[in-house]
Amino acid sequence: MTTHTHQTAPTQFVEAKGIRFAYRRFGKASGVPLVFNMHFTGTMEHWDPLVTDGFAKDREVILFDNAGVSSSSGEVPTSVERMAANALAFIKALGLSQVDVLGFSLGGLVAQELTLVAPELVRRLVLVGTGPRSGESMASLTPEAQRIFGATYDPPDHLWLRVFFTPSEASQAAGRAYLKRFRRRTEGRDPEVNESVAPAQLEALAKWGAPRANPFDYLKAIHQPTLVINGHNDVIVYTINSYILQQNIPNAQLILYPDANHGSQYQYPERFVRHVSMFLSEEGA
Amino acid sequence: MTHTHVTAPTQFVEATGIRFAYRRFGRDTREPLLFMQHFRGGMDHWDPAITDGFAMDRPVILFNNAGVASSSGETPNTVDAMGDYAADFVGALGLSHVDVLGFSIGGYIAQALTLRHPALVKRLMLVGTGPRAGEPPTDPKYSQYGTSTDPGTGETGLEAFLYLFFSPSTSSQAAGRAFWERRHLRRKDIDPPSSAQAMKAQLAAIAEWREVRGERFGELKRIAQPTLVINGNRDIMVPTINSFTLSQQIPNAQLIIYPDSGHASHFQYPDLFLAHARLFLDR
Repeated sequence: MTTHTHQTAPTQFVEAKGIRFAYRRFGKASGVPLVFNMHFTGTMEHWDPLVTDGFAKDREVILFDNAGVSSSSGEVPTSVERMAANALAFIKALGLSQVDVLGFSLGGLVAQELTLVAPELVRRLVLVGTGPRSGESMASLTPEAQRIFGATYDPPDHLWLRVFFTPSEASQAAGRAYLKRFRRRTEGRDPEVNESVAPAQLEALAKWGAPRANPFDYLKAIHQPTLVINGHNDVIVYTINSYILQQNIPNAQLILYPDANHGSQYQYPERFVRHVSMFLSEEGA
Repeated sequence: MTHTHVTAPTQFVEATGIRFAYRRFGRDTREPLLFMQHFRGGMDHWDPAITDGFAMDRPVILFNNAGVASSSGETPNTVDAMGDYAADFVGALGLSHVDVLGFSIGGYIAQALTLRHPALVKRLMLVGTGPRAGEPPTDPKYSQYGTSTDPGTGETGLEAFLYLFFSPSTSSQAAGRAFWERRHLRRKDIDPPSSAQAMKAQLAAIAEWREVRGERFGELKRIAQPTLVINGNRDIMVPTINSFTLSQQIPNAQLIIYPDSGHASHFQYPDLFLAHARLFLDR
């Protein structure tokens, strides 16, 4: 059997809840697979091959497009809860009884919600560049995010240099290296999302971020060992939100990387894979 | 002969009129890792699981600063002066630079050493500590327990130690007791307790460290060294938010916060701490 990588893994499909979910599954088939949940307007293509292939050396990696995103059919729901219900349907359709879940940004919100509705399914949780319900400046895009997403870029991919990386020379160089890696897959690439995706995801983000009473209480119900990771100066989902997650989830570890923005895991892919692998491989729980 | 935490002999070196007590062990491969201890603590208050872990692939140096435990002299009453003494000690050993691990007040001293003698410090680890003018502790038992003394040993007793350094959970308290056993494995050539003068001067230094000097947190921008900041999620001695602040203000700092733990999260998770610290030091 061929060993597939980020570049070669074929896009497969599975049906659930009337949605045809696109996914890719590769890596060493042993233990609990790691399911990746993508950020705002992202597709399977936006993951970093150094990260996914890094994990795939000793575990199975599953990338997927949630409902209505890129190669998956259906519509993007306008709430995180319904996105999580779709993610759950997808995982169950694969016949999996237990997974580790990694969620980045919007994907981190989906990962939290998925953990709450299907606690028996989720073994360990990794929350990257994300935040809690009613987190700081999460009711709408941050002023920095509005500026960054409001500008135009040539080539359009250069958007991600601003979203994921700091203005420092070192961070921008890491960003350019990430873009090279992310363009490397040429065959069977996911199409960019259509124009209906961003408005629905923004609506879901706004509902999640809206103020409410005792907003962080729900985090006490996440009993899974959790690793929270971010850059030390995330301007898209402010870094303090990672601290809030760590302080309120009963069994959470926090790692913040230096001179890094929203995409710290793409700036320090090797370090990130080491830290997360160490966490996923811990004894117990 | 290869020495360990338990067997390394206490040695002495003189500098600026102080006879500094220290122990050096571990593989002679690279720059040593210098340990700076917490309030009232001496060389025997480190965790052998940690020191011996580091010693597998680098030299480890434990020492008592001026006036602490088996070192001579008087403990000064400012963190800056303690940092200068630490620099004198490193110089007296003939070392051009070291990696530094500072815990609690040892983390304040490590910052002072780094700011006042930047060429001496290659990499910095700040554990259970905070910046000048950080958020002070608010726990009602902090002062009473912090200065309490077990008459049998002349040091902080187990009950106070477990309260101050670990979280109230069963698993954290059990980890605290396991640490307490490890740290008492060494029975020969051990330090005497720190004097009342050392405690009083350290309290004065801690009080002075709480004062703003210039722009709040401004001096942290001048720490250019790669820095790893570590703490437990509920530190009642130096509240955890101070570790977040350190990581936000020091330009090249990575932060790690451990779950269900207090001031001594590194003693609670020695293996995980070692793995993280090594990844950082060896990068």
